[in-house]
Amino acid sequence: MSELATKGDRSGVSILQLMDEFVNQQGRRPRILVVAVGQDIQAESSRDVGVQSSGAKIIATAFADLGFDVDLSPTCADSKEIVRQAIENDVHLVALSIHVATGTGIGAENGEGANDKGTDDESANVLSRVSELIAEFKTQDAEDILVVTGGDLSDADHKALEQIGVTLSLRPDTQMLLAANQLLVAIVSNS
Amino acid sequence: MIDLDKLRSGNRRALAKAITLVESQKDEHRVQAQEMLETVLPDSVKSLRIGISGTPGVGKSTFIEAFGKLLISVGKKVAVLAVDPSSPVAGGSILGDKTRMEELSREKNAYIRPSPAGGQLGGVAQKTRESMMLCEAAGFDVILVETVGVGQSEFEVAGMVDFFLVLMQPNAGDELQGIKKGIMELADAMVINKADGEGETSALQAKRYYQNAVNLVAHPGFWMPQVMTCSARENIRIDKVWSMICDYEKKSVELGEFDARRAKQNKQWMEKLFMELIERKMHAHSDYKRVRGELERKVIEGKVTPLMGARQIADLF
Repeated sequence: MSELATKGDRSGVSILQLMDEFVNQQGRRPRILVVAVGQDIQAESSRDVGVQSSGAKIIATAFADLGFDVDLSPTCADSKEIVRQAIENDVHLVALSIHVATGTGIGAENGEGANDKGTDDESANVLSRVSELIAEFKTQDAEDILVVTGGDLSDADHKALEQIGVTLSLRPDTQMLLAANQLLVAIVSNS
Repeated sequence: MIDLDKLRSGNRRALAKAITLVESQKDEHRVQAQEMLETVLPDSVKSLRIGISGTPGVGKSTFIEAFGKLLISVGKKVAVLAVDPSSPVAGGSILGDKTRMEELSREKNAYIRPSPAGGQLGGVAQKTRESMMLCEAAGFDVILVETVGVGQSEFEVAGMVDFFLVLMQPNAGDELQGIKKGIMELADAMVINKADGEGETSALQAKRYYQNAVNLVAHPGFWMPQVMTCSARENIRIDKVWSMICDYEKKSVELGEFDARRAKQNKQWMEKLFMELIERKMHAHSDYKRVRGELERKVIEGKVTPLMGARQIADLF
C-alpha cells in the first residue's frame, strides 16, 4: 500500500486533506461515474425509469460527502452509453455497483462447490458485461479511464474481475473511507 | 494538451478535455485555457445560446430532454451545460442530469455536460461562458445552459445567453412568491410547465397571473416577454416554445439587437476576466497571505476594525 493510502484511512480529516492536495495538483476534484449493474436494476427500472438502484445512490452520496464529484448514469445504459458518458463528463474513473442475488456468482469459473447454487442467467451476465465495458473503453480510445467494481461477490469473482482489467474490486464490507482512499490513490497513480 | 483539430471536428473526448481545462482552478491551466480560447474563438459556429432556469422540481431536465430532442429533429446540434450545486462541507457534488435526460444523452447530435458549481474563482458562469464557446467551436449550434433558479448563478447565466427562459410551476396560488423581483426584467419568456391533465387548469390560471404581471412592468426593448404553458412530460407545446424563440431570434437579428446584446455581454465578460486577473495577482503577491492572516486575527480579537483591516490589506498594492 502506498504512503497516500495509509495516510488516509485513519480518519475522515485526512481523506479531506488528501482531497485538497489532489485539487491543488489537478485543478479539479476527482470525478467518478457511478453505474448500477446487475439483477435488482431491471425490476426497479421497470417501475421508475431513471432511478438508480439504492446501492448506487448510497455510494454516490457517500463519495460526494468525501469530496468527489459524482456523476450518475441512467440505469438502463449499455456499455457504449456508459463509455460515452464517462468521456463526455471527463471522469477519472467508473465505479460499477454490482448486485447479484445471494448465493449466485457473476460467472467466474469457481472451484467445485464454491458456488454450488449455480448462477442464473442474469448474474452470469455481469462478468461478460464488465468485460464488454472494458473492451468498449478501448474501442472508444479511453483506456485511461479506470474501472472499479463493488459488490457482494465470491473470491473467485473478485479475482476474475481484476483479471479482465478492473483496477479494484471492492468488497461490501470495505469501509467507505478506505474505499474512497483506494479510489483516490488509483486515480493519482493513473494520472 | 488538447487536440484542437479534433475539437473542431466535434470529437467528444477533445471537447470534454477542453471543458475540463477551462474549469480547472490551477493557475497554469488558466493560462493554457485562455490561449486555447484565443485560438478556437474564430472557429465558433454561429449559435443560439438559451438559458433555462427555474426552481428545483419545476422540471428543467425533463423540459431540456423534450426540447433538446425537438431541436435535434429539426437538424440542430445541441450542447447542454448544466450547473449542479456542490456540497459546502466537503465540496463534492452529485451530478445526476443524465439520469433525467436519458434519451437526449443517447442522441448522436447531443452533448451533455454537468458541471459542479463549487468554489470557482470568478463564479460558475465564468467557466460556463467559456465552455459554451468551446461547444460552438466543436460545431454545436444550439447551447442550452441549465441553472437552478436560486441566487447569483441565475443572473450570471442571463447575462451570457441570447434568450433567457424561466420555467414556472403551475400553482396559481403562489403567484406572488413566484414573481421574484428581477425575474421579470431578466426573462425573455416564462413558460409554465406541467400543463397536462389536472395541471392544465391551474397552469392556465398561472398564465393569466404572470401575463398580468408582465404587463405591469415596462419593457424598453422590442420584445415583450412571452408567457406560455407546456408539458415537458407529455411533450405538449414544446414546439410552440421553439417557434417563439425562433421568432425572437429573427426579430432581434433584423433589428440588430442580437449582435448588440452579445457585444454588451462581451464588455461584461472582459470586466469579469479583469476582476479575475486582479484577484489572481492579489493572491500571488508575496505578502498578501501573511498580512491578511494577521489582520483577520486582529479583527477577530477586536484589536483592529474591519474597515482599518481592509484598508491595510488594500495598501499592499
